[in-house]
Amino acid sequence: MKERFVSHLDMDAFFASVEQMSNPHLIGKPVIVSGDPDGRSVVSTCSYEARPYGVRSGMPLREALRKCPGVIVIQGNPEKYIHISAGILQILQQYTPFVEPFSIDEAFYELWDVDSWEEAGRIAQTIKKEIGQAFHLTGSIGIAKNKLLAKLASDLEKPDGLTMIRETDIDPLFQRLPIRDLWGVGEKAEAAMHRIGVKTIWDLRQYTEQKLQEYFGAVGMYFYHACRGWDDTPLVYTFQETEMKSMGNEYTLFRDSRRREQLLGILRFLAQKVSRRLRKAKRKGKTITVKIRFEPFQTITRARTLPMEYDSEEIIYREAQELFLKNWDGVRKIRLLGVSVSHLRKTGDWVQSHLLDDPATLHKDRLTLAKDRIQDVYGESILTWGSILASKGV
Amino acid sequence: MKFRCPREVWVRGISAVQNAVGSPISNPIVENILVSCENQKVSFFATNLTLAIRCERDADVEEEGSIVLPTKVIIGLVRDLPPGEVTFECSETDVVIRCGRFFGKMKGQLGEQFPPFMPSIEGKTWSIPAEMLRSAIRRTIFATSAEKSRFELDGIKIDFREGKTFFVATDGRRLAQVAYDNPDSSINSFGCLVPTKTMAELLNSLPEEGEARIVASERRVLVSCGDLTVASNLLTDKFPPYEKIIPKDAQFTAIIPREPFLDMVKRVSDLCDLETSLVVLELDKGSLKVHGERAEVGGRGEEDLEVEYSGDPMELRYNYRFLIDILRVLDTEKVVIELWDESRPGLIRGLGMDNYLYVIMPMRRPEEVDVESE
Repeated sequence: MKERFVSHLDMDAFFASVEQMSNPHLIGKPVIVSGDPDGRSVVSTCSYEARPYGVRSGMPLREALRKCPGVIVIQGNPEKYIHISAGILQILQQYTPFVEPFSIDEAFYELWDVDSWEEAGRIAQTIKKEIGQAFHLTGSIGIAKNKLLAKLASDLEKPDGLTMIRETDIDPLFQRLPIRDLWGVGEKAEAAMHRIGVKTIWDLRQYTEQKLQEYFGAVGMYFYHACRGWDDTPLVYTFQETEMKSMGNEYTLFRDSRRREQLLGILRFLAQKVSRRLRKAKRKGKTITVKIRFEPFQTITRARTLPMEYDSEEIIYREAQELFLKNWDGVRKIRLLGVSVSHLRKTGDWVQSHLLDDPATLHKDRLTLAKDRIQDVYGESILTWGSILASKGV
Repeated sequence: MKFRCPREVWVRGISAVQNAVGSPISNPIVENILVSCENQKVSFFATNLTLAIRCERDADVEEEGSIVLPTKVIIGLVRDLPPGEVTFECSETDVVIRCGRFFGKMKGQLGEQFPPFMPSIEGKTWSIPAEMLRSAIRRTIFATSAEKSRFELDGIKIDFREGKTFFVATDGRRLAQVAYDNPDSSINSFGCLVPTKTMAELLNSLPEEGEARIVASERRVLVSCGDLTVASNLLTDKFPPYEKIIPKDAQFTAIIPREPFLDMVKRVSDLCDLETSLVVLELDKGSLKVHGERAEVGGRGEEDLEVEYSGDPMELRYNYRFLIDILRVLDTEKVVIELWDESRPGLIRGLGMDNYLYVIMPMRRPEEVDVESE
């Protein structure tokens, strides 16, 4: 059988690193990313600078603050992380179609047309470099013959590591590694392992299949295989880009407003932006959502689902405008407007052309196309609708 | 009512009419099949009120009459009857069927309750050999569209013009057209749009030989041929002006052996994207390469073939189903593809077969807009 080269990429302190990257003031400082900085939240990630203080993921925020006074706590920005995560997967997909996104900051990939460890290592180096150039982030990659060992490997030299576990490395490594490092051994299993005298992964090998099943039930079998480095689970690859669920833009007004033409102009501007982003991403969506934040802080969202998917600015604006006017009395001042499109579908690289097209829709398509081309060259502001200018008071 | 006939008469009669059986929503009785006999003939009749089919055969009629039989029961029974003569009799609604050593009985409904055959039709009348009609249907029907929003494409257009009879079908992405000489000069500049379903029944049930006599009014058509009579409503929606979309004066022409081409496209299509059904045809001097990709299995297939081509290199993107459809239905040894450029429709014909053509639209990049249609 052909040798497998399975790699596992684990981004280093992903959320915290993303925050540091997007705000240079945070670089080199202990940073905690958490759900809600004010509440009774837990640490979802902390930067490497916070780790010497004993701060760990999953720790209550209050405890972390005690251990590391002066640490900067940031509320997580899921959208940002999802966006970057998708970008990283795209980088991986340039090297192999067999990519399994495992969590937001981890992925497996398998190289099928590679037949040496050196080559697998070179590709891993290149991937790390590309991620660094694109996002200024580091990740650790583990390479091995299966997922179990690859995941273990990526954890061995964090951060910014590149580790291979070859056949001959397995035994010495397992003699050294604590049982807790084995994939699937959590706090409880660790305690149980200690009770039966298992300290290292290697120690587990003294037990027979039957014994392990007796001790651990169904997972006993898994432990029996895992402590020998055996694992033949295939990658669950989708062959698709990580699916974007929705695409949207928001606009906060400088001054709360109830001026109708200004607000409609903003909606038009948002619709234009969203529609352009959809077309660039080759997506169409069927649900149009409008977000309205009234003064002082009440926010509502209203959505409508259309019979088919669109990326057209006209349709997005028409629906958004209708939803907005239905939900605004014309009196309350407005602080923020947002337009988003969801239930997205990929439009594909090639579509069937028609013998008998409706000339009206063709004309519209050509107008949009022409606008896109001009804006691609001269920027968004070169062409705009009168209503958008009106909203700016021109 | 009592008559005798060979089992084959029942098989033919029931299978010819069974697809016209209606749904109980409009009128519960049309869910059944009417069997009646008079003048030494037995007739089988079913209708869904827009399409009516009658099949009439000779029989040894002892007592005239009619009866309505439940469709599913009679289809099953006829299928399973042993070969030989079937004796059918009924008094009121009690039915008895004998065949060989089989004896069966059931309840029917009174024949008078069944709707009558379509009212007689007055209009243009013409004849066409059954075989020719079947072949015209077979060569166009696959290009019709069942799209809910485009009723006008769910049929085959029959047009009389310029001394010819045209059969045309299109789903908006490809178009198939058959033309025959029309020797009857009394009928010209006339057209009717026959529903796909009606054409499908004609294709299934028209007798092998004989002349089909067709009468068409503005709303209805009646086709009779041998033992079969089919009456149907016509589609009144406007069929698109197809004459304009058939391209003329090709810039490049490729001549390709049909069967190897078909087999090649079929093989490659197994590794093509199912959603877009995209297959790429690369034509270059003397060769045609076909390839496609199927991302969900990381698949790619390609194959090439020697062809007669001396034009510019071309990279054509088609829906492989559209290609397979036409290559299957043609029976010439070679096919001709006429081309203009990669974004314009291609025209496919059988070599030496001038009365049948097929127009196929290529795939395009989503942002490209077809200049042709302006």
